[in-house]
Amino acid sequence: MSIEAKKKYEFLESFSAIMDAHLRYFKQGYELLNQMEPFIHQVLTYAQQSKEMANIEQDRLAKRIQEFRTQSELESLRASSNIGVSTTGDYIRNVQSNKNIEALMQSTANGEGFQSLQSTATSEPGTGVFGRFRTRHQKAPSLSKENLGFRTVDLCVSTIKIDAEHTDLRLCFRIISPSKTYTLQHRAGREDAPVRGYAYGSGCDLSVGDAYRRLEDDTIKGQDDALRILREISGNDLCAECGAPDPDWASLNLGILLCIECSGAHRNLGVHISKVRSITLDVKVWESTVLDLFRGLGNAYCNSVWEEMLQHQHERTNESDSVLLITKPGPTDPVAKKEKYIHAKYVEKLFINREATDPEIPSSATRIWEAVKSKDIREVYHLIVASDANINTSYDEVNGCDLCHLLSAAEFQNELKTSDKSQYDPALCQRIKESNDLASCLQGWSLLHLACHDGDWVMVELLLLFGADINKCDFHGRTPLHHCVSRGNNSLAKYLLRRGARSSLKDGGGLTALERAMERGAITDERLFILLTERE
Amino acid sequence: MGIVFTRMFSSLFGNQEARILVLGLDNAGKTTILYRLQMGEVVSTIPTIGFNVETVQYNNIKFQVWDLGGQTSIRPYWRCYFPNTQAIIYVVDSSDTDRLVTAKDEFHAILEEEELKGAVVLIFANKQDLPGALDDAAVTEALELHKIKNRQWSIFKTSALKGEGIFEGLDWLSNTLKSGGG
Repeated sequence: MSIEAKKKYEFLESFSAIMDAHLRYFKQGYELLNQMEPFIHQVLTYAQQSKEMANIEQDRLAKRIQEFRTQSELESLRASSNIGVSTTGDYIRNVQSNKNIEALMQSTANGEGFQSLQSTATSEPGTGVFGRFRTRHQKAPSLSKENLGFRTVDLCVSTIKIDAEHTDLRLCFRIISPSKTYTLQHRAGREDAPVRGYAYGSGCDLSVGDAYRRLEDDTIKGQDDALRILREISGNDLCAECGAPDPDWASLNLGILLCIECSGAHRNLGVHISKVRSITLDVKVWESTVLDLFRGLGNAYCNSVWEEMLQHQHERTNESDSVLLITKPGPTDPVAKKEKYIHAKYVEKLFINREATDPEIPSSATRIWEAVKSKDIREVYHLIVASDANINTSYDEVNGCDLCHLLSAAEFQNELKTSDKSQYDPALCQRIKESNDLASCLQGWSLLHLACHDGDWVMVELLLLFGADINKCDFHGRTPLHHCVSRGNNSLAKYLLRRGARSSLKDGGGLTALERAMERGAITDERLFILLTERE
Repeated sequence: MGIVFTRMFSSLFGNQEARILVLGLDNAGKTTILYRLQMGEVVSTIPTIGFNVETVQYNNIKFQVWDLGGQTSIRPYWRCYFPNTQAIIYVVDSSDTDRLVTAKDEFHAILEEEELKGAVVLIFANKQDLPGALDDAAVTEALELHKIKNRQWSIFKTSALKGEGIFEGLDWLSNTLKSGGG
């Protein structure tokens, strides 16, 4: 009984305690919130104010975008009425040069939010290759008037993107320098700010291009001759594919000049088809031999080979042919069309006039041999491209019966294994001995051997560009390098070594090119000696 | 207080950021790889004069990928981008056997740079889709990768056109960077 009674009052007691606690808790909460009431009102009014302001701002901005659009349309109209692409660039540059533009700047790197700043675009001629972009930071008046100083962005190593990373930021562009990204926005409030800001934005883009152009100009001083020489060649004033003016890219092995867009399409083919280089940005490749090779070819000739069928079809347009479905693109055609055309031209080889095999005409091997012998660059090029002539054609294929060492391939292999190699030693060859002329025994010579023997640099370059085996051995085991050395043509020997000829290969007499060179007397050419010895 | 907490949270679970340079000779496939990473598709490219930069989010790492032009006379400008770089992706055209020696020389010149001392190196033996392309072992040999000292590196066979090998490489990179390799 006592337990029951005890339970009753204990329950009531704790219940009232809980009630009391609740009461006090809520009362305290009420008092606290009550104190905050004016603040809440303040915040609410502030929010409403900013909402109104934002609306006004947005309206104004929309109006200005409209204004700016019409303005830029007008400008582009005016620009396009100018003569060419390059003059358009000059026009815009003039608009933006030395103009001070106010822009809003947000430095995303330090996350300080929006800052108002004045940016000055100046190009300092004294800095040579670098275009300079100077921005003077000025904190917004609401923060403080403190100056943050100048910041210099080297436009040569920076880029401009006419968009912001955050989609909610409008009328923004970014200057991306190696170390920092600056997001700039055109400040609303000034009537003409957006227009000028945009001109400035695209102006920046231009001055980056400008800086690079100046960089190019700088290298051009060395390359100037190359560019001038290459452009003078027949047909080289226009891109070989689309006919765009002033091409400054080239395909080394195809011997043609290209515009940058078509060079992009050429690069997709792979280096086994086209080796693309810049005339202005790729230094070192434009050696005199390469220039001579280009001089021997040129866009006009190369296209007459690669596009022969296409040019024929122009003459007799009535014939319907599947080839006609693809037409030569123009400079303004989309990249996809250019790519398709270039693929058809060089990979599928659709426009090449393939000659029917005729017993009357000598084989392509014979013809290419004769062409190399008579140093006819164009004929060699034509045969490689149009007749699929083997670049590693050897004399044996050309004139199989006129051999002084009659051996079947099996015997040849056998002989090599045995110790008796006397037959392969060029010093012991009857013919060479009798006439004292290396060219009297042509057995096993490749086209490259022949070109090296004749000291025909340009032919060597052409053959190498089309993938001739630089280390091929003739019957006497001599590589093209051996031939150059034994002819005393040291500069061509150095050239072959730079192009990857192996100096460690031994000829039939068991001697390397170095040893053959020493046979002829002391090597006076230091550089050649180094090259011959260092690759061992 | 809130800011502190957010920072702690992001440092624990959120996005690590990494600055990556994509380097290599001209026409190695750098730009195609960059846009393969960013958009997952092949874009038609033209030679890069200057550079491209894109952000790629992968495996909780925000990669800022810089693709620099590879022509001979703009290669000296690569060094402007070296500071604060966590990793280098070196792209090689595996089918351009004539220029592997040049690729090797450029590669080892980069590794000598003081500013890239801590950077991990990922090599892409690219253009595996082309005939005559060397495999990763042959490229390792040609670039003399065994000479690399005190640095984490790896080589992957890739084809930017087919999209093969690139994300495997990025997996390796993100794992290495997360384990403090950068």
